[in-house]
Amino acid sequence: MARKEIRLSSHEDEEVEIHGDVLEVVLSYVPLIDLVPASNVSKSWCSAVASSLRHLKKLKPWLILHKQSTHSPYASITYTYDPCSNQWIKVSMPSMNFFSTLKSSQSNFLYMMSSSKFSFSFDPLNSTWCHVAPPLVWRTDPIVARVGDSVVIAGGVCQFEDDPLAVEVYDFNTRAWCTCESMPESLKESAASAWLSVATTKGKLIVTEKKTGVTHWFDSETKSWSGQFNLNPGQPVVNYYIGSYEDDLILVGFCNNVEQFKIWKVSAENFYCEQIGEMPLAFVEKLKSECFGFSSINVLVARNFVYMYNSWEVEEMVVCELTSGGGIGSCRWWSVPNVVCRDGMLKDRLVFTCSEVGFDELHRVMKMDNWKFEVVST
Amino acid sequence: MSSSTELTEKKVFLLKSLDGVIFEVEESVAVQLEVIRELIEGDCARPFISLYNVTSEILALVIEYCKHHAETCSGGTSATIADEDLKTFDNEFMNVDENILLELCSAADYLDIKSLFELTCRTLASLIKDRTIIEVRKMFNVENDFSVVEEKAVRKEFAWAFK
Repeated sequence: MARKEIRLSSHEDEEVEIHGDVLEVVLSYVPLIDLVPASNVSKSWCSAVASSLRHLKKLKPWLILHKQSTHSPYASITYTYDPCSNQWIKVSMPSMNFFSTLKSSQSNFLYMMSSSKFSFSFDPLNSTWCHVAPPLVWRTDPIVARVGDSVVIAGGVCQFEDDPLAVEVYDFNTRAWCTCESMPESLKESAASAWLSVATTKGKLIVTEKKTGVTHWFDSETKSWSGQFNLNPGQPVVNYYIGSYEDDLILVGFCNNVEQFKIWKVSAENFYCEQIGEMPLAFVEKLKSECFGFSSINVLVARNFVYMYNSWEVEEMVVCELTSGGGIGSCRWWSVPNVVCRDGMLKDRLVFTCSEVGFDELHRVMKMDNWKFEVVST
Repeated sequence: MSSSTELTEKKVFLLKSLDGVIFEVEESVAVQLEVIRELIEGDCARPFISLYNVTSEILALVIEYCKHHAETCSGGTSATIADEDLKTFDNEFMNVDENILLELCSAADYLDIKSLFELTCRTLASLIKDRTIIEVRKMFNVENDFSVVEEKAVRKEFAWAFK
């Protein structure tokens, strides 16, 4: 905007006020991050913010980037991307005891694991951490996901352990781990988060082999596995990524023959696949790594948002917003430059999560001591 | 249709502001005011229309905005050039102080000019961004109606938003 100077008192004799309905519309264009201070301007602004959020402003899931040093004390900085305002925000938080590297294998579930401790967090901005005893089986690259009132940890087992398919569940109510039925034998060669894509829906953990589309699911009630089912979108797909979407699933597949990513909506009942979009080629190009092609793509899904990046070259991420209506063409695509510069990427690890950050949650966290939010200019 | 009939058929409307100033506008400009377009379409438009909520200062600006948009859209230029031109004009046009901006915003709301309403709302929103709570109160003449205790709590919890 060209405006440089703002005169504050040109019409001091006249009281120009901004009226309720108009204020609500104005506030619907204000980024979520600025709505928190705006709600503290006055009581009427506070209710206008609430009403604007209820009726006009549609919030969208944030992409969250955790930049962590690879060495002890594993200091971490968080950057969030709000697709509504297209802004990156640097979040500084009180330093916590990062005793290990941060990891995530499911949307906004973040964890750290050592031989003596297992810590996890799944609130939208990861402001709350639970610290519990570690699982019994020693693991390096497991699938870890929150399913209902429990955390399921599966596979990723160290070589010297007996069962590569071991599954343990931490129950929030009993606050204890229990060993459950191991993962199905067909996942023996791929039982680690590097090879499996996971989603949770209706109390089930669904795991899909990235290379084959072989799918199994774990019921957190009965603590047992079902399947197998082979995801079949009817096209030659070489990489399968899943996420939960409404009560169903989303499948993002890479079609080798046409070098293109396509998106299908998958019924959680019968796994029927219905194609809903294809990534425009300009964005496919952005995800391609010169040396490694499309071998290390990761996909994060939150509500109607799909975030994709190549872990070898994360300069740019591709975003897809699934708009209502369904059917082909209900996807809006764009790309987001990574705010963490190349130097940062070499020295540090990057962990990606995505999460639905609401006004109340942001308000709560912004009030907490030593939390600071700064918009990063890009 | 020949150009001579077009000329004779070009209707004009007289818009009277709150403070009694009369503006003559062509139909292509008048129809951008949704309230007037409805009157025209319903065949209820008289050549003389009183706008009770808009001062002459603001109405002049509104007419300038509508005129420019009407001319740019009907001129033979390509869509992308027209878009660029409108963008530059809009940016320039929004370079007014916030009291004028607020009045333009309510006028656009009252006269139902969607593009101007959105433009002014977005501009006002950009003024709220990155401002301290005190600055926002001052800029929009908002009375701080929190009790002393409430205000104290807000200032403590959101100390950074007051600095």
